[in-house]
Amino acid sequence: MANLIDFLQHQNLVWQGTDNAPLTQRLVEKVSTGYDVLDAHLDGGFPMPGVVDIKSHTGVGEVRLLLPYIRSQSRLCVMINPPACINAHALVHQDVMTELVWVISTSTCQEALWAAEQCLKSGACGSVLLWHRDLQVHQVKRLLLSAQTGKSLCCLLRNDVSQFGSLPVSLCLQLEPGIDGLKIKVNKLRGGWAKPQLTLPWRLLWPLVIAQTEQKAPEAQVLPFLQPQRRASR
Amino acid sequence: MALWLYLHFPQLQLDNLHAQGMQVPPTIIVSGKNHSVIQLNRSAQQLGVRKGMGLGAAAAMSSSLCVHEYSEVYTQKRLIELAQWLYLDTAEIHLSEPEGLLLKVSSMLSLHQDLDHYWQVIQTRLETQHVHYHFSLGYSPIAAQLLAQNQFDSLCQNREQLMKQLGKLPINTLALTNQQQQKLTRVGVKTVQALLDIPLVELGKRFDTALVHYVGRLQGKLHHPITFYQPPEVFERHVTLLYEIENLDFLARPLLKLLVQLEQFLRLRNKLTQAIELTFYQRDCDALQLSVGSAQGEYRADKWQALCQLVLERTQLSAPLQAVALKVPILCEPQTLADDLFSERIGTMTAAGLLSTLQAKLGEEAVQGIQPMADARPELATGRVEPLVHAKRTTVPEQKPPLCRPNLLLPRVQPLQCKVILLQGPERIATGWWDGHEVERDYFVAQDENYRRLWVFRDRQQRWFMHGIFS
Repeated sequence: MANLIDFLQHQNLVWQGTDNAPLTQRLVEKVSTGYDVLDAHLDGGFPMPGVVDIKSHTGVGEVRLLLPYIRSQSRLCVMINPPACINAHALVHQDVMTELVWVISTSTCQEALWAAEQCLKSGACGSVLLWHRDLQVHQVKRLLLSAQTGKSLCCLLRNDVSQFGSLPVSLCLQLEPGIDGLKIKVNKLRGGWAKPQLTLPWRLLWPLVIAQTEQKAPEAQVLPFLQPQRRASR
Repeated sequence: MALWLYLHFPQLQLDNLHAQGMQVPPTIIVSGKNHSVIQLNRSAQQLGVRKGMGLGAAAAMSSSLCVHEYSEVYTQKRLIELAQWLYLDTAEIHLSEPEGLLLKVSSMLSLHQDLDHYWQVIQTRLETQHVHYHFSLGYSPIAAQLLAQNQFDSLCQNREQLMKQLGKLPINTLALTNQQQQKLTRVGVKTVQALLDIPLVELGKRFDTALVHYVGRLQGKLHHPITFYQPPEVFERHVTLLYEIENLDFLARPLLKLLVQLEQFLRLRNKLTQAIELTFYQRDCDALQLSVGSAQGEYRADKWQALCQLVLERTQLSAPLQAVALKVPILCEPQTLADDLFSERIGTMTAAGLLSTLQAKLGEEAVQGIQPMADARPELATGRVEPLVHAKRTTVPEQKPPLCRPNLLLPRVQPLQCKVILLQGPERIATGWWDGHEVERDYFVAQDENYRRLWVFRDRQQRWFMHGIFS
């Protein structure tokens, strides 16, 4: 029996609470996400090094959620197979250094995984954003090992929300947009307890959009020719 | 009087086939003019093939005989390679074409203990090249050459002995015209000794000046002008494969040999290279040119091999491979990495190394950097650039009010087809009248039913389009 548990533990198949977990699993370095609410919710932020699985539809703010972390990095950020073109102007206006961003487009999934692995373990990249559909357990394990070699963060962005099955990732988030904010559900947090759902207000995620809509609210109608004036006053 | 060392390489082309380190079948090299055997290996000799035999007679000896045509160009190239290789140890080398090297020994002896030591150095250098050679010393270039070509193969530097040895040679070994030789035999001069016994003045009375000049230079009495070899700063190698290769996996070994040579070449000069050019010669096809790059500069053979392997993986041959050439056009100085001595090194590669690996496997266009361009039109505002390797946060961000722009921009605008609520806007962009790509749009931030944030615009005709996603 003890042998079996040892064996299962060795395979990382046994989930243990923070207090009971072996030392190697308990000491996970965390790096701030840039959102205080989220940091508190995730016991400090993203696990570093680690693999973060983000399940969401495209366009709910998943890249925006990662940008404060990317901004704080002085190493490269590699984006692999993004679903559309990365807009350099948007990054500049969000204070991200575009010189540190590489965009890789590959023809096959295998190549994408290979590129991600190379980037992660090189040590030159602080984060790798990989848009990918289906992932196998062994592929995620390889990514995790490479991330540990290069001390980097791998973010898997998957728009296949329905895919079920546990991958050996360090953190699994499910994002769903709501009226008042982005609903973040923590599916898995290695070495942490189950968490309730968190709503990250839009105001925090998109300060620019919200600030102007709130401002706009009392006015009944926006006359187009007022626009330049308002922009000048900002 | 200067002392010269002559190295005679009788079978350069054959040696190259052997150097590929495999069991070589009986092989002969046949001259192109009269189809006679001029080089042959031991197994061919055992079959009964002899030098000077016609191709037909030789082929009749065995059906498994492998025949190559003598290539003057190749021999010349190989000789230059050898000169380049020997240049590392000896300064003054003369290319005595087609198959000899003349080394000036007397000027080099001040750097070595004695002649034996010098010869040992030369010998160990030649050993790595796997070539057969004959050698001899001499007090004039021609004397050394004659003795080496006649396989004297001894390191004797005694002047009398050398002369005696030279004297034994028959007159037809000298590089004289048929007419001159006939004239000499007619007067009974049959050996070199007999020719040397005649004083030059007497010789001048009876024979033409060309012969006098030749004999004078042979004895070292007349000046023999010689041009010395100057090595170029370009690395270029060519290997003819023993067998045609159809599977690129088998190319690894011959390629590694070339890369090791490259490593030696670069290390001795303390240089790096950022790109190597491979040329694959295919049967009945155009040669295939491949370029392998390493952004940070590299000299080590194993690193280059790893990069080449990645490039070969995505290369398709259209016909079996017969030969490979490697060329390095530009060398560069090693850069000193100004890394912090105390900060811990993370990972296995630098950014430049990573870039070369990715580009080698995925192609040059697959990896790109992005750059904001000074253009108000959103589709032209993002520039694709070569990824930067040494990016530092140097530019102070301009203090402009930030604009609301989506992180993801659709490759081309799409008609808006879903129901949306406008959250913010409009922001009018009207520009581009000067270059034919005119734009007049009112941009809005919109939210669709799934609460996705979209960047939509209305054009002058009141049509609605989607242009970006606030991802």
